[in-house]
Amino acid sequence: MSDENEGMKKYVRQVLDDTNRYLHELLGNIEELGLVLGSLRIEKSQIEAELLVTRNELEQSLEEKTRLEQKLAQIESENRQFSGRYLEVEQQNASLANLYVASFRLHATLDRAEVLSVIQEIIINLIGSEELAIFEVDDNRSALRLVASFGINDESYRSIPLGHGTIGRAASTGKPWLADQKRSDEAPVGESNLTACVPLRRGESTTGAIAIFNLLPQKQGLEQLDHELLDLLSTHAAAALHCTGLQARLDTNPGVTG
Amino acid sequence: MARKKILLVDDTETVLLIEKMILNKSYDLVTARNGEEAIATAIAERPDLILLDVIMPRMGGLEACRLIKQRPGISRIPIIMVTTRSELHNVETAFRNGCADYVTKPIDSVELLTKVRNCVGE
Repeated sequence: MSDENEGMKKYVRQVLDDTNRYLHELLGNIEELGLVLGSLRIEKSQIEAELLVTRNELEQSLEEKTRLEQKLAQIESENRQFSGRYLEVEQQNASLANLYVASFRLHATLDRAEVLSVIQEIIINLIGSEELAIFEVDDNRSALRLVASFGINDESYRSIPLGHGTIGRAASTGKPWLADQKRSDEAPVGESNLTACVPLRRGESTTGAIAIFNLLPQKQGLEQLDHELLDLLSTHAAAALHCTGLQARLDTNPGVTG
Repeated sequence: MARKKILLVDDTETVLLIEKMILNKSYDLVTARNGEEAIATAIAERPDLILLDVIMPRMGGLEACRLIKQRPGISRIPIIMVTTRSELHNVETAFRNGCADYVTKPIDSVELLTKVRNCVGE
């Protein structure tokens, strides 16, 4: 019996020892877990702080992106404006260049044939027509006499009485006739392919006329620059032709001084 | 960067003057008055581009274009034809003879500058 008690006691002691050891280990583990938990909390706060910083940076980046997009849109808009302005200036330059060249060419010679050739060059290359006629008022001031032409049947336009037809009327009234400013029912009979007719004017008097018929296929119609060139031709061509006449008189009568 | 050189070929002074006024701000220019002169000037000057009128005395632009494209040393120079007539057969002949592009008269300055810049690789 006492042996059985002794064995029982030994067993109970062993259980107590095991329990104590287990509890001790458990307490150790709990302590370790506490430490891990503490470091995890610290790490979490660090991550939260970093997240906050990142979130702030992201917000700033988004604001910056919006600002840059607005700036880009503004620059693109300015760029479009500048491109438009550049084209406008380029067109103005081209117009001035055309007018300068026309004027320069008309007054660069005192040879009548050359002036007539330059008038044709201007109409063909700057206005864009290969059908034209240049007239001068005859000595009786009763008719227009054809003095140069390109791409037309000369016989039909050899002489036109002043006041007759669109060309004769433009010369007699001194007012230009432009097809694009007329209604279609005003198209001149027998002159339906006429695009423009400008009188050659020296001061108040008309000295002739220039008639322009069909434009080149690629020209849709007269443009602002063409109107300005026709204005220029109206006066400068008349003056240039007049000067060639004066020069011819000087050449034949060297004693004359102007 | 060195300025590019362009050979302008036209028998009318009016057209040469207009082309000069459009191009002289950006390019060095040399001129010729017909196809024969164009070939000789191209050999002597070695331009970066040739602006070639179609209808000229002695030798027209289409023939000059064909001969330039056959001539070693100048055959690679790009050519822009300048024409009053934009009909299809003229344009086809010009391209068949080796031109790179064409412009019609009256010359539009913006169109000309754009095509010139394109041809000289700007």
